[in-house]
Amino acid sequence: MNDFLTQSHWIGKFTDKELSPDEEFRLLAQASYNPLLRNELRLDKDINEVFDDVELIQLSDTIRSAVYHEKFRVILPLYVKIAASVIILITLTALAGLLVNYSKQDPGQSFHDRNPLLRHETNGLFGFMQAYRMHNMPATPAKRRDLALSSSFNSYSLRPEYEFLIGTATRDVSVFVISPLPRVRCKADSLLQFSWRWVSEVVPVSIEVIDNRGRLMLTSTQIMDMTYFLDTRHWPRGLYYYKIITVDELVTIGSISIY
Amino acid sequence: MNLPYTNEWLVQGLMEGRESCIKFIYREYFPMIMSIVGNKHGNMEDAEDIFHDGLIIIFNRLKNKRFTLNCSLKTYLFSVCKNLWRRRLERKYRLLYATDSFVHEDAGLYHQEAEEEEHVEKFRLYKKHLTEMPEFCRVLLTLYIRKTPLQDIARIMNFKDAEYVKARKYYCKNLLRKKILSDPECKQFMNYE
Repeated sequence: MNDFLTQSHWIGKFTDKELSPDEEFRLLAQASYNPLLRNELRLDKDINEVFDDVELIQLSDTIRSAVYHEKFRVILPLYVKIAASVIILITLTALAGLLVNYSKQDPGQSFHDRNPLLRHETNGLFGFMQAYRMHNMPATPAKRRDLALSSSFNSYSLRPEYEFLIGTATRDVSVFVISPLPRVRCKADSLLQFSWRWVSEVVPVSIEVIDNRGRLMLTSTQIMDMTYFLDTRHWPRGLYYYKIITVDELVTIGSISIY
Repeated sequence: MNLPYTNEWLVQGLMEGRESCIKFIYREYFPMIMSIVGNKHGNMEDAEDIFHDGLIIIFNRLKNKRFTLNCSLKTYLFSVCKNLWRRRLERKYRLLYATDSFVHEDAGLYHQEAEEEEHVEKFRLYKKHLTEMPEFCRVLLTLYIRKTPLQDIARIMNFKDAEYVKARKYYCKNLLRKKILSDPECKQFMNYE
């Protein structure tokens, strides 16, 4: 009984009723004058009684675990949630816009030229969304033209409204055009000669040159000579249309392909 | 407020130990308990203990077939926790100023509730010490408490036989007793010599 381990075992065995009558008698005799042993005997019995209910232990574990989880649960204030949602929406919209714009670029261009965010001419934070916005605008003629300009045309695209007029005879017969031919090709940075002669009387002649996007590149009016040299220096390569006009009438339309 | 859980559902959930229900009870009712405890100089830890003990007391009462819950769980939890906290403060006061410990405990219901509370508090204290025990003893005693057969415990814990499990169990229980007896909180409700 002096051995600590033996005594501790005997306390457990006493609670479990596994001591022999002799051992039990000796333990109780010692407990009668040892208050510490009495306390331990009572406590051991108490522990067995308290831990007897398995359901209670499980419930206690569940309560502790639930309290722990709920205590450390991060609850964001409503305004933070709203702000986060707005930021996510803006980011997604910006990415979508970037994707739409990026997919319409010429792969031949350098990354710097293609990326609207890196270009200096980007119009504000959402400038790169221009192409996306154009696709979603109502289809008015002007907007259709802008859309066509920005996305589907390249510099050699044909304009059907001029193409079918090239080389056709018109009502005006006061001027006979000698050059250029209805469809002419010329090198960039060169001079293109226009020449004609008057059939009956001398009338002033005008020349207009339009690029394939419909922008007026040159207008020269009241030409009284029979030749005119078109200076194509500094003009980008591409397809252009020329018109030769007398006072009120269109004489001819032709195309110039600068390469 | 539109509660997603009805009173019956909460009571059922508590009886079945459903974690979602207990989480809901904590979310909705814990601030109320915190206010009871906080008003009388209690802290967050005290409030959590009161919440735990309150739910255990209600669970024990609900298990009793003769008991019927005639009000909402919230109201009942409020009253149980309020009484628990009041009695705990009284006991603390008695210990501090060594007044007569049986001064208010002669009434039948009060005495019964005090016994119930003592049982729950003992349970919480023992469980706390059990959780803080070394891994080996904690697992062994947990398996023993869950009434796992000794042969199974020997197999799970790689012991040679059931006799050895018993010896280790006595050793661990001894360790647990020493830890409990050395806890000053133990003296608050145990009339040990």
